[in-house]
Amino acid sequence: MEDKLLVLRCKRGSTDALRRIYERYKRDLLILAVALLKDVSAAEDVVHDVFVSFVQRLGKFRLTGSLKGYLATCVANRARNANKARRTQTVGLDAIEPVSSGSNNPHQSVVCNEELRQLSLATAELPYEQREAIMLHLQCGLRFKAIAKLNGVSVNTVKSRYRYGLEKLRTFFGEAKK
Amino acid sequence: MKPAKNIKRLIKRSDVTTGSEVDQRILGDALDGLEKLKQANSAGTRPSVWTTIMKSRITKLTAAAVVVAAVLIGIYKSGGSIDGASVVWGQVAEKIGRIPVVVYRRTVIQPQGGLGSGIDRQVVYLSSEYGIRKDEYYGGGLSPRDEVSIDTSDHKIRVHKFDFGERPGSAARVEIKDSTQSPKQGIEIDEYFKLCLEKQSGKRGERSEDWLKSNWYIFPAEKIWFIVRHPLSPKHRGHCFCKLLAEEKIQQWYEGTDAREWIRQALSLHYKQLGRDNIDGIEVEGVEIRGRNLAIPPLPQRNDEMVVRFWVDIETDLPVRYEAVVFSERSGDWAIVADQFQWHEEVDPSIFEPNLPGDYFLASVTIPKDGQKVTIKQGAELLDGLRLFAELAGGRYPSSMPAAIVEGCKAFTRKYGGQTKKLSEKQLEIVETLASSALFHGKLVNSPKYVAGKPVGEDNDVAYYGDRVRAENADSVLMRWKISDDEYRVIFGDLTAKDVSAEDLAELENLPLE
Repeated sequence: MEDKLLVLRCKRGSTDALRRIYERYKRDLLILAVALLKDVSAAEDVVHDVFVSFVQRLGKFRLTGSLKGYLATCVANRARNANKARRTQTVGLDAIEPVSSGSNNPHQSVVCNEELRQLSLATAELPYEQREAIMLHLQCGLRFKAIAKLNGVSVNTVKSRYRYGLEKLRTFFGEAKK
Repeated sequence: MKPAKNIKRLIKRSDVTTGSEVDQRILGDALDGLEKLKQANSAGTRPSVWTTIMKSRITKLTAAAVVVAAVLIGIYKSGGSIDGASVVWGQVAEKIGRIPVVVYRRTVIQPQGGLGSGIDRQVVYLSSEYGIRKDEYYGGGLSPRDEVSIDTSDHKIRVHKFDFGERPGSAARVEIKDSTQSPKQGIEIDEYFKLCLEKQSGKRGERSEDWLKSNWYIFPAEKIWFIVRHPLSPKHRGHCFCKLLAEEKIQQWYEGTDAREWIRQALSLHYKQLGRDNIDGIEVEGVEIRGRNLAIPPLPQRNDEMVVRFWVDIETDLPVRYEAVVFSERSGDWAIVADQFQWHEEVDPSIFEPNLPGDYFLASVTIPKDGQKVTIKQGAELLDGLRLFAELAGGRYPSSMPAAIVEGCKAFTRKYGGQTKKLSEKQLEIVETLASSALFHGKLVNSPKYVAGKPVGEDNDVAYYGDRVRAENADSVLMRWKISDDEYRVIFGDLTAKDVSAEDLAELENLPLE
C-alpha cells in the first residue's frame, strides 16, 4: 500500500517520494544486477537506466503488483540485454570490471561486501538463464510464473533452470567447503 | 548441503554501499526526469476560456455551488457517503483477483429435517500458490453425512491442496479427511484421502503418461502413515474417476470453493445496489442479484428462486460478507454465508501441509506391487497378501481386508521386535503386498457392476470371514465373490481357490469350522 502511495506521489511530481523509492530499493536492485552481470559498473548503469526509465514512464504507469517485483523485472530485462551486447563485443570483455570487495574511493563507486562477492562468484559459473531464475526467485521473491512470463517460456522451464542452477551450486559449495 | 539455503544466506548478508557520486548520478538523473515530466504536464494544461471565466469571483462561487449540488445528488443516488468514500464495483472483482490469499468462514444453513439438515461450518484457506485447505466442522452431531462417522463432536474434513500445475488437466487434487473408519473392526484410521492427478516424470527429458491416484492412511494408535499410490494406465484412466476429475470437474470444484470466483461471476450479472449498511462495525455497501437459474457458484444452477447479496468494505473495496439463498418448495429454503474474510498478500505454506508429528512412521508405497495392474479376474494379489499375513500372524488372517495393513504391521512388530523410526525394506514390502491385497478386495466391493469386464448384475456379493477362519481351517470359506450369474470364486482357509455354484457355496458356508 505504501508503495502505491509513493508511486502516486511520484506521479504528482514529489521528489521526496522518488528519493524514498530509490533508497528503499537501490540495494536490492544493485545486488541483483551485480549477481546477474558480474560487473559492478555495468550493474550501476543498469540500475541507473531502470530508475530513469521508471520516471519517464510514470505518466502511464500503473502499479498492479509489488513495486520491488516490477523494478527487479526491469533490472533483469536490462541486464539480459546488457549481457547479450557484451557477448557480441569481444573487445569489451577484457574491460569488464570484476566484482571486488572494496574500492579506493568509496565516493565514486558501488562497493560490494564479501558476501556479495561470494554470491557473484558462486553464480558466475551458471548460464545466465539459471542465474536469473535463482536470483529473481530467491532475492526478489518473484514467483516462477512471473519469471516465466518475463522470459516468454513455460513455468516448468523456469523451474528446471532454477533446479539445475541449484544443483550446480551444490557442487560449488561442496567444493568451497573442501 | 542445501544450495538454496546457502544462496539465501548469502543474499541476506550481501550488501552494497553506494558512494555519493553513484547516488547523485542515478537519483540525480531520475529527479531531472521527474522535473521534465512535471514541466511537460504543466505545459500540457494550457490556459483556456474556462480559466479566464473561472477568474471571475462570481463565476467561481456559482460553479462551486453547482459542483457541490451535483456531488450530493450523485452520492444520494449511488448510496455513497458525504466523506467521498464509495465502492467502485467495477474494480472489486479486479482487486480481489490480484490478492493471492483469502481466508474465510463458510456456513451452510439447511432446512431442519431435510437431507443434510443442520449447520455445517468451514474455514477455507485459499492461496493462488499453495491451493486450498478446507477445515470442515460438524457441531453437535447435526451432520448426517454418510461417509463420516460422527463419533466426536468436533469432526474435521480437510481439503488439502489443489494445484493446477501447468494446466488444469495435469492438476493435482488433494483432499485430506480426518475420519474414524472401520469402527466395526475396532481400528481407528485417519484417512487422508488424496486424489492425485499428476504426471510422473519419466527418464530425463521425457514425460511418462502414467497417472497416479494416491491415498494417505494414518493410524494414530500405531503412529504410522502410508502414502499408497495407484498407477493408472491411460486405458485404465478412461474408466475411472480420473476422467471425471479432469479439467471441467476440477474447474467446477475449484470455483465452488473460491469465494473470489463467486463474486466475480456475480458481478458479471445484472445487480441492484443495496446502499449502505454496517456489518460488525465496518461500513459497507451491498449489491443484490435475484432470479431463477442463476449460474453463480457455489449454488447449483436450478429453477428455484435465488438471491445473492454481498457487501464490500467502502474503505478497502474488499468483500466482507456473501450470502446466497435458495427458496425451494421441494427441499426447503437453504443458504450459504461466507464471512470473516481475511485478505493477505502472503500465507504460511505449512498451513497447506498435513504436518504430521515427527514420531510417525512413514511408508510410501506403490500398489499394485511392481506397478502391475490389479485385475479382479486373477486375484493373485489377494492370495499373496493373505499368505504373507498368515506367515506373520501364525496362521491368522486379517480381521477385515481394510484392516490388513495395520494388523500386518502389528503382527510384524510382534514377530520381529520393536519399531524403528523408519520402516525397513522388509516392512515396506509387507505394506506393499498387503495393500495390493486390500486393493483387490476394495475393487471387488466397490465395483459391483462388472466382473472381468462383463456385467454381472448389481453386486459382486463379496464376503470375507478372516475374523474366524484361520490357515488350519483348510476347507472353510475364507472369502468368496461372484464371478458370473451362478458361479462364485471361493478362497479357502488354506488359500486354495475353487469356482463353485451358488448352491455349493451355500453348503460350504454352512459347514462348521474344523
